[in-house]
Amino acid sequence: MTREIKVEKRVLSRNDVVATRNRVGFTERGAYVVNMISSPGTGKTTILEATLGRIVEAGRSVAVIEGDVQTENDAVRVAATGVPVEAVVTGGACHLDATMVGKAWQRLEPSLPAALDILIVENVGNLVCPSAYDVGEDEKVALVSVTEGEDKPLKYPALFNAATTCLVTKVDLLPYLEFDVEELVKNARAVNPALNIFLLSAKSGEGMDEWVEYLIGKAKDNS
Amino acid sequence: MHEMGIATEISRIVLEEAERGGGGRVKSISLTIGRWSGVEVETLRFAMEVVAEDTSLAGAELKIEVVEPTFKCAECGKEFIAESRLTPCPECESMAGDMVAGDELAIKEIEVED
Repeated sequence: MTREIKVEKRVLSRNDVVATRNRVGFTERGAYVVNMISSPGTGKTTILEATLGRIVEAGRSVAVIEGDVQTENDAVRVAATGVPVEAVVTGGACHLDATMVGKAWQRLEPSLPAALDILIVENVGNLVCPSAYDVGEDEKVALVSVTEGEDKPLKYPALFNAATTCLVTKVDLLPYLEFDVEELVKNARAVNPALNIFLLSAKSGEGMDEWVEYLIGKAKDNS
Repeated sequence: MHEMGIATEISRIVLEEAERGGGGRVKSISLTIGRWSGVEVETLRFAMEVVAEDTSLAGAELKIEVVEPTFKCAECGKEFIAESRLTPCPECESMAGDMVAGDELAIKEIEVED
């Protein structure tokens, strides 16, 4: 005999439950949490290093959860800045999910100050899959570099639509490229009119202060 | 690209629901997948075959309903299927529309056989 069973469940419902639990933990410590997402090679880690330095200089506390498919190279780079960091090596998975981030958070917690201002999650380099997984963040930050195409937001609308902020990286290279920044901004706004957009370069420092100021403005002052 | 993880999650939920519903072999799984959910249907079918092997899901038919990206115009209320997020409302040409369907990824129902 065949029986029909109504399920009516979102496939990622368990991830959402864990993400909610993560969010409670982050909130208890007072942290504003950003989930940085981009394709490989956009400069996430370089921007992250430059961002961390400025947050620390401003006298605010910050920690990092660093995702990579293989190697802890990026986590080692972040650790060199002196900021508490926990690596997640996904071992092949193309995104971080709420469970991976939750476990990294548990490992990270003993090294954190009682109140943490900002937690930055650097996702695995991928423009598609990470946007489907809530890890408990307050906002998703999409990064795109000027060595990529101006139509990236149109090709990967799910990410740019889910993101609150977009960082356009490597703008120090603009004089050497035929890249139309206005076209990129237009495309990004077409997909998500409310997107905050920062043009920046970790190398020249251009735009970095504005971005960090925005981030610190979002964070609760726990000092 | 993350279809393997999605397939694992579907298999977990379906086995749980089948067990809760009295157990048995799963004959079919009905899924609702939005065109813009980020999931490639053919890749998911392949991933489900791999994941289902040696479980009571093996051989279960996957009934997949693909939902087209549907927007509701914020100006005139017209609902329309969009080719991209830049598709204007066909009625009033407004660009201000909210997505109401097309990014879902859900298990609707399953059929279980004794």
